[in-house]
Amino acid sequence: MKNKKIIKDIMALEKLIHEPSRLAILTILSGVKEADFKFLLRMSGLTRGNLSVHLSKLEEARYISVNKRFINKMPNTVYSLTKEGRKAFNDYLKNMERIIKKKGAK
Amino acid sequence: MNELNREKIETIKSRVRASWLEDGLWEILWGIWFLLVSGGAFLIYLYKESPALKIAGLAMIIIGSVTPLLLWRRFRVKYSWTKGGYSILRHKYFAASGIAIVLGLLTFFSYLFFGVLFKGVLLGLFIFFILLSIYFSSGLKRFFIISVIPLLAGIISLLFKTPNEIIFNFTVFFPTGIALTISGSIAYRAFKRNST
Repeated sequence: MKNKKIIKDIMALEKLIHEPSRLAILTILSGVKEADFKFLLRMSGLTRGNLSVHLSKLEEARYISVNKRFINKMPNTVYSLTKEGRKAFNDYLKNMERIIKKKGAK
Repeated sequence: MNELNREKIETIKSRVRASWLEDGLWEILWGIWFLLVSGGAFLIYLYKESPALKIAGLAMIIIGSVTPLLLWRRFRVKYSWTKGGYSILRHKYFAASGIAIVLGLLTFFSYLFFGVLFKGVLLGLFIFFILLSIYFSSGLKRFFIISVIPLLAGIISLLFKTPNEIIFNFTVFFPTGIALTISGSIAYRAFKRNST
């Protein structure tokens, strides 16, 4: 019975967030109001191409928003977590905690 | 998988928390502030009779107090944002340091009501709490190490019953300023090395 519940919880995990690179990006963005590409690159340790692909996927899912502007006359693209993105990320973490607790209780 | 992910999340969170202070610029600027304030107070102490030097001392204190606030953002834009990227932290990371800040403020207000004997300890405690609050919010251990310096200096000033001016100049502000400037310079070098 417990196994079935755990499997159900695992199935409920958001696949888009479960990917480690995207999870890392969302974790970084959950701690900041906004951050640019360079900051995300440095904090996540991903390659430029990889980060760019994952950011596009998160943007498509409307989990992050993209804002282009200038800092010191230099173009700067800033990313931030949307409301949906924050909710999805928090739900993911809660689900994960639940699974870990159930696994520990077994 | 889950444990690994959770660990990774915590590591990333602490790196993000520390990101605003990892370049060392905050410490360098506040270190210079401490040195300017102690220098200004020293001038006032030495040349109480000379109005020109008293004004120079006061100017050093005022410039020292305003400079870090004005320069920090500019310095970050110029020296570290281009290297390490831009971000604005969420306020929740500063909430953890709330208790330390309240204790610091209480210490500061009590400073006004105590005699010269305890002023050194109270001043040391005040700076100790501020630096401790930065340690709690950023997770950077070097702030915890530096926070001990003003506390020790305050205790020493109490033990040796030093006069107020000496407390202000040499026992609390000066060593803390030196420590902050050195640790900031080391942190900035490491940041520059890692980000290139």
